[in-house]
Amino acid sequence: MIVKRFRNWTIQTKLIAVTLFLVLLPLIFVAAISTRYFSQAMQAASEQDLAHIVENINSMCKIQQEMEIVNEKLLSGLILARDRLQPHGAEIQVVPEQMVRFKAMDQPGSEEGHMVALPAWKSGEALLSGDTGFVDTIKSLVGDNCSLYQRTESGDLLNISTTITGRDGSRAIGSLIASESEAAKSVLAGKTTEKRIFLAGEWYIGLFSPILGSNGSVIGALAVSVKEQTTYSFREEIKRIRVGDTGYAYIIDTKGDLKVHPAKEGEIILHSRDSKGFEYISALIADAVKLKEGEVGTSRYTWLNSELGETRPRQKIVKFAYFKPWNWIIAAGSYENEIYKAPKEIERFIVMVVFVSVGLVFVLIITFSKLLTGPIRELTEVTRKMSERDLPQRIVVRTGDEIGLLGNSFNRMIEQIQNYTSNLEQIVGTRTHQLKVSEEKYRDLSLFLNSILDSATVYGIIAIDCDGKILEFNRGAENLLGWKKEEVLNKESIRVTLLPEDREKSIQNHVFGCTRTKGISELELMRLKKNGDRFPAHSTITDIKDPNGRITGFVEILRDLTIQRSLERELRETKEFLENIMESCVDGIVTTDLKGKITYMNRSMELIISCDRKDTLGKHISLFYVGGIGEARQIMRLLLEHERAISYAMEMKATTGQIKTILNTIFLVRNEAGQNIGTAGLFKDITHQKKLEADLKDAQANLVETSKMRALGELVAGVAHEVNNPLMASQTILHVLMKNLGGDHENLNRLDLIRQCNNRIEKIVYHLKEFSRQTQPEFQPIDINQPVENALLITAQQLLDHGILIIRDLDPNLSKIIGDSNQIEQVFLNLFSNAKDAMDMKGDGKKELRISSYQAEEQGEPVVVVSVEDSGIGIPEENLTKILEPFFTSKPVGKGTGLGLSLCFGIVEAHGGRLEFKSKYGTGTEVRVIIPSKPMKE
Amino acid sequence: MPKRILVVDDDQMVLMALGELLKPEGYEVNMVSSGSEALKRLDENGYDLLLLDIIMPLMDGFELCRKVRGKEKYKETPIVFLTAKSREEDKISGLAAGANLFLSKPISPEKLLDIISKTIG
Repeated sequence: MIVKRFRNWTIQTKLIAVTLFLVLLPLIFVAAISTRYFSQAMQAASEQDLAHIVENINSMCKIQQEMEIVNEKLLSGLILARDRLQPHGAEIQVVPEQMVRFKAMDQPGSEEGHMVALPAWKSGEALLSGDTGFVDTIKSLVGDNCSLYQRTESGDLLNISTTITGRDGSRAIGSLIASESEAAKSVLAGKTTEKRIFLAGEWYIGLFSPILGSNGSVIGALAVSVKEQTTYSFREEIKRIRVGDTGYAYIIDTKGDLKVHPAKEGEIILHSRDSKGFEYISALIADAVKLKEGEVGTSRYTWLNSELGETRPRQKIVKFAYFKPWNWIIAAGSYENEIYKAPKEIERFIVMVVFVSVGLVFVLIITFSKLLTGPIRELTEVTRKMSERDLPQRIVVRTGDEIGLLGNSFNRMIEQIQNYTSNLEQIVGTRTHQLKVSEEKYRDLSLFLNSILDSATVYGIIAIDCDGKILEFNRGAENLLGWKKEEVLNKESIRVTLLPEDREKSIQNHVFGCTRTKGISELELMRLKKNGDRFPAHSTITDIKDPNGRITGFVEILRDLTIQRSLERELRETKEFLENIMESCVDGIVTTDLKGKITYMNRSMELIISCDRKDTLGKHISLFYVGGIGEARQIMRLLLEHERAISYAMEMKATTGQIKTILNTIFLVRNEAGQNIGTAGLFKDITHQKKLEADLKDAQANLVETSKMRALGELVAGVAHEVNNPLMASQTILHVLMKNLGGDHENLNRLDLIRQCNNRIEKIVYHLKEFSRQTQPEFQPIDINQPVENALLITAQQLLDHGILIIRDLDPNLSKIIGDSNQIEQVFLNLFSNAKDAMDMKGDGKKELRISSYQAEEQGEPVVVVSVEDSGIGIPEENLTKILEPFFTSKPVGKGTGLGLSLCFGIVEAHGGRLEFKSKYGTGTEVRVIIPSKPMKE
Repeated sequence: MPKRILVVDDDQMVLMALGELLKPEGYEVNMVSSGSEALKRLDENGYDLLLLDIIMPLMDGFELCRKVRGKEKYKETPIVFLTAKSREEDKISGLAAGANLFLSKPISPEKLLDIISKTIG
């Protein structure tokens, strides 16, 4: 969060914050550390100063003690000066590049001198050579004079800096301590030397401390000198020491007697207590005596200097050393707050500096960041204006830095933008117009689609997502399913429209899977309405894909099949009904296309042409016409002319080869538009009928024949009858006549001739009567053997008389024939008579008459055959064709009338049969009577 | 007493010939040419045998026969058909009409005489 907030700050704020942070922290850190360290150091230094003071005094005592005649103060002064010159033993900087010229004066007080050039001495930055800053400081500190001597090439010590002034007031710089002098020698030998020297017209007691160079050799000396004085000044000097504002040095002996004190000299302060009641002096003394040589102890106590008008006790810090020889405790003390004043001031100073710098930095940063961010803000401002369509703005680039570059780029960019904008505006203008147009189109389309969706009140259009939740639900779906759009949209799953048993079967998943793979699926499924009603429905389901090709849902188009189903049922029933009619129709029904290829054939037609319809579909109907394609074309011509051909008689050939006579009613089939789409025909099989007709015709012909015959018969019968009477009368009277004449009358022969004539007439009349009898047949089912037997019965005796052997072979199980027994009898009588005559004519050889009857089959029809076989003279081949002709006879005149076989032929033919002759002249003859029989049934 | 025979035939020649044949044999022969005449004669006289032709105009032999048989007198009298008709059915009809015998023309005179003598003596 904070990071986010930080991100959103302005650069300015950021800069400030960061800078402050970066500046402040280190500053504070540094300040804190430095103040601590510094103050610590300062404190330490201050304490160290105190300690040094103590040490110095200690040293002074030492020196004083060591060298009674040595001016103790000098020593301390020297030491101090030393310390100051070379703090912590630091070396004097010798700068050979900087030569300082001195006027060296050999003789004290002498005005003459020579110039000496020496490398400059520095302490830190401060120039020592020829400078008086340092020595003055020492003097002010110590009270004694201070000088600096630099060794010359000749081994002299040249004074390069001093506080000593001559009578004229000028510094005694340049005075020389000759190298031969004892002082110089001692110093150059590295010893601290005390010597009386004469300087600038005065005698001084100088204490010289050699200064060592970097190589360890003595390069000069530091001197503290005092005009010769009493040791009184030593104490005075001590008393004059100040530490800080009110700090001072003092000396106290082990009994608590103040030996040297700026104010209370001579007092015994052994039992002094501090403001806390602490006998600090006693404690101090106790500690001090334990100190070793060179050790410095520390004591802290609170002290109220009422004499100085203080009202509050202050913490005092005292450093002390123990100078055993004199039993002196050298102490230097100061108030802590004074000691620490400087450090504290510095601390405060540092803190102030910190704050000031922070403040400065702050201000600077603000200013700077303003400066920096100024352009950015300007940029922002301009861009803002730009975003408000205030285009022609430019950044004033003031700097050459990144912001300036940015500004330049920005300006270029604006230019570019302006260019583009004008282009774009153009394009946009056109595009907008286009968009407007397409928007309108889209709107129209949208409205249109919506109206389609909703006008589809019969079709339900439902869109669902991949889980089945309903996304779209049109009016049609509302109508079909009973749910209102608001009730289901985004609330219900498509499952509510499925039957409970189907929901379980996860048909949904199955359908989805199917649709996914194929892209579309169709199925018929029972659906559930809101009110619980079920109805059969047809669903077409397609998937909806997003531009990436991923399936986002499905669309279902739902159709109620209830009506369709009932219509289908009706249609089916109607179809079945019609098919039944078609199939039940007795006549054949055939439909063809306009080319004549068979498109439908009913059962009856199958029977007519003896072919299954599946073998005929697609074949040309002329295949079954006897008249072939020619006939088909003719029919078509008729149809085109008259639209239909009624009772068109034709012949068709079945696949069995059988020819059938068909009465055809053909008509053109038209569609609703009135176009011809094919032909249809009703094929009435009138083969049987035709046969009947033919039979009728035959019968009629027969009838005509018959009536002719009958007329003839009647005529003949009439003739016979007419003739019979006179004949009988003639015969009778002749009989009487012959009887009356009796005896041997010569006319008896003549009368006999007449009798013979009468007999012939009788025969002729007889035959005529036979002939006439043929025209009046009485047809009944008879066993052919019967008339055969009858005939045999009649002729048997006669045959036997002629010596003819009769062989019978008659099948007793013959089928009956329809016929006239008398007439058949006549036939066999005739045949037997012929046989007899034939065998008589042959004369020799055996005379055998073989009569056999049997069942046979001709062309699939049962027939009865009676065979009459003789061993007579036979029929010559050339006569075989003529034998049936009436009046043809080979018999001698008077023997046969020639009517026999023709009569037989007529009778047999009337019975539907025929005569067959097989003869070999000289061997015999077989006559076969073949008559169709009724098959043995019932 | 000679046997009386009635011959009924529409053909004069036949009547004559039969008369010529039968008279010498000692029979008394009456010849009529129609059925109505025959019935009249039958009522007037008594006969021992009737020889009938079948094919006659107005009344054919069958009808006459039936009529004769209707007469008490002639219920048992032998009736013989002598006719050109020769069909089986004619025979049956004849016998059904009441005739005793059915003969077809032409018949040999000897045969006829033989049959008559056998029938009535």
